[in-house]
Amino acid sequence: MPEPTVDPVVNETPDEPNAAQVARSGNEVAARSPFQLVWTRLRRDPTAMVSASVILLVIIAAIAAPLIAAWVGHGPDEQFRKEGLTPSGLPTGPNEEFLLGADNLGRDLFVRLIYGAQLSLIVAFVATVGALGIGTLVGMTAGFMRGKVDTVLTWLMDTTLSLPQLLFAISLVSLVGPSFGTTVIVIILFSWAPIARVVRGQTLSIREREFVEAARSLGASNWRIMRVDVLPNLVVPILVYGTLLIPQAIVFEATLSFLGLGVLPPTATWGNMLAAASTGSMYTIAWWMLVFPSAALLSVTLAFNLLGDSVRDALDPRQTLFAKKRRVKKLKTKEIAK
Amino acid sequence: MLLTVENLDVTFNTGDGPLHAVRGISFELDHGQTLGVVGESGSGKSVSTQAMVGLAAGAHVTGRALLQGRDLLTMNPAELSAIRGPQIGMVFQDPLSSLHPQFRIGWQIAEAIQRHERGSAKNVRARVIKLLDEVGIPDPDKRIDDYPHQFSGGMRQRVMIALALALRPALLVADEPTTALDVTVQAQLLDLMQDLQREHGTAILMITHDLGVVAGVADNVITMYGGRIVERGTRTEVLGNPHHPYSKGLLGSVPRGGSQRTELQSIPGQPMSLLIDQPGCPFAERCAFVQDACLDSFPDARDISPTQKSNCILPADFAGPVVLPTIPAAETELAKSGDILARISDVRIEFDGARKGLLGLTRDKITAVDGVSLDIRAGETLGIVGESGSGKSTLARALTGLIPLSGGTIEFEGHDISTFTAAQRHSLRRDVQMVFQDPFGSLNQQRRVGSIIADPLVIHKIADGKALRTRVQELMEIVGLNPEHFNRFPAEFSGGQRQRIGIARALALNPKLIVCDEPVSALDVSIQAQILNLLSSLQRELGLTYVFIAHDLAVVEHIAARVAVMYHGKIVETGPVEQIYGAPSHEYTRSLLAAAPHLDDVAAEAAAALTMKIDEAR
Amino acid sequence: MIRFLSRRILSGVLTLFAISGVMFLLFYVAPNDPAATIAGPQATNDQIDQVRARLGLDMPILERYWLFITGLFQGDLGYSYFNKEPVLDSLVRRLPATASLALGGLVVALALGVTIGIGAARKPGSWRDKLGTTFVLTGLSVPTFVAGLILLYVFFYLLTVMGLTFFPAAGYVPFTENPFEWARHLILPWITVGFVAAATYARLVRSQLVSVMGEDYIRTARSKGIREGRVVYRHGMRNVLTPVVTQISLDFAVLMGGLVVTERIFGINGIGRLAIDSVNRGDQPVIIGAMLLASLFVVIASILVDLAYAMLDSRVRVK
Repeated sequence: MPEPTVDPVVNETPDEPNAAQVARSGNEVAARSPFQLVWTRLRRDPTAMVSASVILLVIIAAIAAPLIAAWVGHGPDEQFRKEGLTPSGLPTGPNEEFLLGADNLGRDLFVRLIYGAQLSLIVAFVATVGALGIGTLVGMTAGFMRGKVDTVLTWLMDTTLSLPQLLFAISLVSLVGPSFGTTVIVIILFSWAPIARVVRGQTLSIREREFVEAARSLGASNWRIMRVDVLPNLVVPILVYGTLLIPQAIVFEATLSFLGLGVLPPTATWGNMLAAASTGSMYTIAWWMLVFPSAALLSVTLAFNLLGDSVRDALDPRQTLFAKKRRVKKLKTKEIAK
Repeated sequence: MLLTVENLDVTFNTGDGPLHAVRGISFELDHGQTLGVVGESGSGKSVSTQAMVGLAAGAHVTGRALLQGRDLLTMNPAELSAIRGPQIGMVFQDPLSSLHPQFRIGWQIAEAIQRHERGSAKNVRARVIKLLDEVGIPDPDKRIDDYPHQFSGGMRQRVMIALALALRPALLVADEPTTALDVTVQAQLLDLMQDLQREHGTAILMITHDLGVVAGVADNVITMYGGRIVERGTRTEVLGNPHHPYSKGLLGSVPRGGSQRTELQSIPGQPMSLLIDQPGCPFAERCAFVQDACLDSFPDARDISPTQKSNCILPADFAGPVVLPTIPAAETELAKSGDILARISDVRIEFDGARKGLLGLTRDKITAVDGVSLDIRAGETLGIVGESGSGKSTLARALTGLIPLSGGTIEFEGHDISTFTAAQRHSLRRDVQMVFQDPFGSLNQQRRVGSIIADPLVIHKIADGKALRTRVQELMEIVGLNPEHFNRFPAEFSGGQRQRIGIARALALNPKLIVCDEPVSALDVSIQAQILNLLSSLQRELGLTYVFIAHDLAVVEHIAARVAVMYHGKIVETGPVEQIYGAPSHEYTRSLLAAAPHLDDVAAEAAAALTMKIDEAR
Repeated sequence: MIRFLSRRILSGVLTLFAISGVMFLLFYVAPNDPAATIAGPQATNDQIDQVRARLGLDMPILERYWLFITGLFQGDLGYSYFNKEPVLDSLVRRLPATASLALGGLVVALALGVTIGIGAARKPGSWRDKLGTTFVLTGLSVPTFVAGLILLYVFFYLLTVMGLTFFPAAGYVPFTENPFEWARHLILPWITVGFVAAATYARLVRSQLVSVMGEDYIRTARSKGIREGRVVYRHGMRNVLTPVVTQISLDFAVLMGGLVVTERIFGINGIGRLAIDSVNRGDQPVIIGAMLLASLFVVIASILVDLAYAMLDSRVRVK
C-alpha cells in the first residue's frame, strides 16, 4: 500500500555536535533534553503560539459555558420570541441584547456558539483518543508481529479505508438513530485505520533499527520490545497525527450534524446551527446565522491544523533550510546481515 | 596558481544560534597537484569546499576564493553554475545516494555535458561511452543505459568520477570519495584518480579523515580542527614530522600496519561545538601542552621548514615523528593459553533471496556463511576481518543467537546451543553479549541512558530499585562516563560516548564473551583510539573474551591476538596475528594487505629524510 | 508481479464481499422496515406483508444475500424499491455528474496545492511558505458544506442581488449537451471541492520536496552546474511525482463516493445525492449498490496505485 500523506518522520539527530551537546565542552551551558529542544523551537514559532492561544481561549470558553450563559442571562435552548424575533417573525441581528444575533427560533446565537464549542471539543477529543488508541494498538501489532497477524490486520485496515466514509456513516446513523454516542463511534470507526497504517509503517522501520536488535540480543521478549523500545518512538508520529485528527473530527461532526445525522437540535452544535442557517436559505436574510458559526468552526480547526504543522516542524528540523546530513561511514556490512 | 583561498569564513544561522563552521582558512593549490585536507567530523573540511563553490545553502561566506584569477565568492548563482562542471568537478562520499536513482547514468552524464556545451545527441553519447571506458566500466556501450542501482559500489563511484571529469575541469574536489567502499576497491579508485590526474593535469582537493589515503595520494597536506587550519606542509612533513599537537595526536591514534602491539595514543575529550565562538586555539581544551596564551588568541603560523607551517605556540623543534610505545610482549602472551570457550563447527547460514522464475514462485538462496569453523579461547581476542559481503556480521549475529543456523553447530562451554530450551537460551544471553557498530542507531534515542544500560539487568531480573541505579552508575564509571548523567538522552552525548554506553550495556550482565561488530568503524579516528584502549583495558581487568569483527585491517591487527580472514562466507586463513600480517599464505589475504594504505611508509620516508638532514648538518 | 497482482485482487474481492455482507447485516438488524414505509402509513398489515413478499424481504437473509451475490456476477444489482429502476442503471446514469465534479475539483486542488507546495518547499519557513500553507489549511479546516454555502452566498446570492447573474444556483448540465453551460454550472462546486482538497497536495508536495531537495543527488546535480530551476523541476519533482500520482488516484476514488454534501448544496444529481436520498427513503438496494460502487473505485484505485509505484520507481521496475 502506498504511504499515507501524513508522514511524520522520526527525527534523526546529526552526528556532529549540536546545542544539546554543548554542555560537554568546557563552556557550561545546561544540557537540553529532546523535549526541551522541541519546546524551545515551538516557543519561537509565532504561528504555533497564536494557534495555541486561540485553542486555549476556546477551551476556557467551553468550560465556562454555563457561567457565560448566566452572565448574559440567556440559556442556550431558551427561545426568546419577543426579543429575538422581529414582528414579522424574522430573527434579529446583533445588538446589545443578543451579542451575535438570534436564530430563527429566537435563541441567543452567542450562547449557543459557546455551548457548541463545548460539544465539538468533547466529541473531537474523545473520538481522537479512541481512534489513536485503537489505531496504535492495531498498527503496532501488525507491524511488529508480521506474518499472518499482519496480513489479517492490514486487510482489515484496507477494507475500512475502502468504505466510503460519509455514505456509510449516513447509512449507519440513519439506521441506528443520531446521537452524541453514535457520532463519536462513527468518527472512531473511520479514523483508526489511517492511524493504524501510519503506525504500522513506522513500526516496520523501527523494528529494523539496531537498538531493537540490541534488545533482542539482551533477551527481551516481543512485548517488552514493543512496550519499551517501539512505543516511545511512536509517540512523535502519534502526537502529530493526533493534532491533525482533532480538527478532522470537528469537521466530521459538524458535517453529520448539518445533515441532520449528528447531534440533533435543540442541543447546540455548530453543525446544526449551520443547518438551520441554510434551510430555506435563511442566511440570505440573517447573515449572522451563517457567518458566526462558520467563523468559529474555521478558527478552531485552522488553529489545530496550524499547531499540528508547527509541532511537526519542531519535531523534524529537516523541514527547514539548514539540514545537516548524517555521516555514513562503512556501514555496508549491514546489507547481508539481515 | 590554480586555486587561492584567503580567509575563508563560513557561518550558518541555525535555530540554536550561529554555527561558525569555518574560521578564516587560507590555502593554495597548483595545477596538477593534490592537496589532502585532513580532519575529523566538525573540522569544517567539507563545509569549506562546498561553501566555496556555492553549494552550502544558508551559509554566510566571507573571504576570497580565486579560481584561475576569478573570485568565486563574488559570483552570483548563475555564474557559479556555469563554472561548476567545466572548471570544477566534484565527487562525493556515497555514490548510491549521490546519483539520481530514477535516471540512467548515461543520461546523467550527458546532461552535464549538454548543459555547458553544444553537441548532437549522437556525439554526446559517444563521448559518454568514452568517458565510461576511461574510468574502467566494462561494456560501456551497454551499461550506459543502466540505472545506478544496477552497479556495485565501486562501479558507481567510477561513474561519479566520470561525471565529475566529463568536462575536463582543472580542479577536482573529492569529498571522502572512498570512505564508503571496501579497501580493495578504495585502492583501485585512488589509482584511477591518480592516473586521470596525470593524463589531464587535474588538480585534486582530497578531503578525508583517513590518514592512510592522504599518505598515498597527497602532495601537500593541511590539517583542520575546529574550523581552522592547524598545520600544513608536504606530505612527508606533516605525516612524518608533525609539529601541531593535534596532528601528532591524530597520527598517534591510528593503528599501524606492520608494528606489533603498540599502545594507541588517544586524544582525550571530544571535538568542541562549533556554536561556541572562542578566540583561542580550538584544540586547547584537549591539548596536553596547553598554556594560558593558547586561550587568548589563535596562534600565528610558525615556520617549521620553508614549506611546513604550524599554528601553535610550541617551539619549532617540538616537531618530530610519532613513535608509539609498544606493549610488553608478556601481556600479549596471556591470552593464548585459555580453554576453548566457544566452538563454531561447519556453520552454514542461508537467507531467502529475491524471487525469481516465471511466476515469481521460486526463490534462490543466498549463502551468507558457507561452512565456517572456528575456535574461540577464553581470554583471547579473536579478530575476524573481511570486506562487505564476506558474511562476518552474519556470523557474529549467529554467535549471539540473533540468527538461526541453516547447518552446522555452535557450542558454548561444551554445550550445543541448538539443543537448548528457551530458558537455557535466555540465560545464554547473559554469557554472550554484543557491541554494535552504529553508536547512533544501537541506542534508542527516546530512552534515557540509565534505562538503556539497566535494560539487561531488568530483563534478567538481576536488580531493581536502588541496587539497579548503583550498578548502572558503576558501569558508567567503568566505561569512562560521568555517572551523574544517567538521566540524559543519547542525543546529548557524542559518538564516542554513545559507544561507551553500548559497551556498558554489554557489560551489565558480566558476560564471558563479547562479540564486537565493527565497534569503531563509525567513529572519528581520535575517538576510535579511545574506545580501542578502553576495550583493551576492560579485557585485562575483567578477563573478557572478544570476538572482534572489522574491515579495517590495522584496527584488527592492533587489538587481536588471533585473526581469521573471511571471504564470500568462508574462512580463507586463520592464525596468530603476526603470521597473518607478516607472512600471509592465502592470496586473498595478501591482496587485502597490499590494498591497505600504508601510513608507516610515509613515516619511514620522513624519518629517513630527517636523518639525512641531520647527517648533512654535521 | 503476477503473484503480487493476484494477491491484491483477491484482497480487494474479499473487501467487497465483506462490505456487502456488513451492509446486509446492518439492514437486517435495523429497526425500520422498508416495506412499511413503501406501503404507506395507512396500510394494513396484510398490505405490508404483500409489499414485503413482492420485494423479497420475507426470504431468509442468507438466501437474499446469495441471490444478491449471484446477481452481482451477472451485473445485476437489484431494483430500487421505489421506482423499480435497475440499480445499476440509475447509478451509471449519475456517474458522469459525479465524475465531472470529482475530476474538475481535483484539477483545482492540484493547481492550487502543487503550486503552493513547491513555492513553500523552495523557501521553507519564509513568509511565502507560511502564507501559502495557511491558505490551504483554511481549505482543509472548513467543512465542505460551509465552503459551499459561503461561495453560494457570495457568488450567487450577492452577485444576483447586484444584478450579475453569472453563476447559477443549482443544477447540472451534461457536457455532451452544452460544454459551456456544463462548466458554468460546475465552477462553484469545483472551487468548493478543490479548495478543500488542495491542502493535502500542498502538504504532500511541500514535505516531499523539502526532503528530496536535501538529498545527495540534488547536490550532485548542482555540482554539475545545472540551473536551479531545472534542478527543482526535473530532478526534484521526479521523486515527488510518485506520491502525488498515487494520492490523486486515491483521492479520485474517495471523492467518487464522498461528494454527498457538495452535490446536495449545488443540486447536482450525482451518485452522492442519490445515495443520501435513498438512505432517507430506506431504499436498500440503491444504498448497497452505491456503497459497493464507491468501494470498488477505491479498491481499483489502490491496486493501480501499487502498480504505479512499481512503474515509476526504476529501482523496482528494472531488476
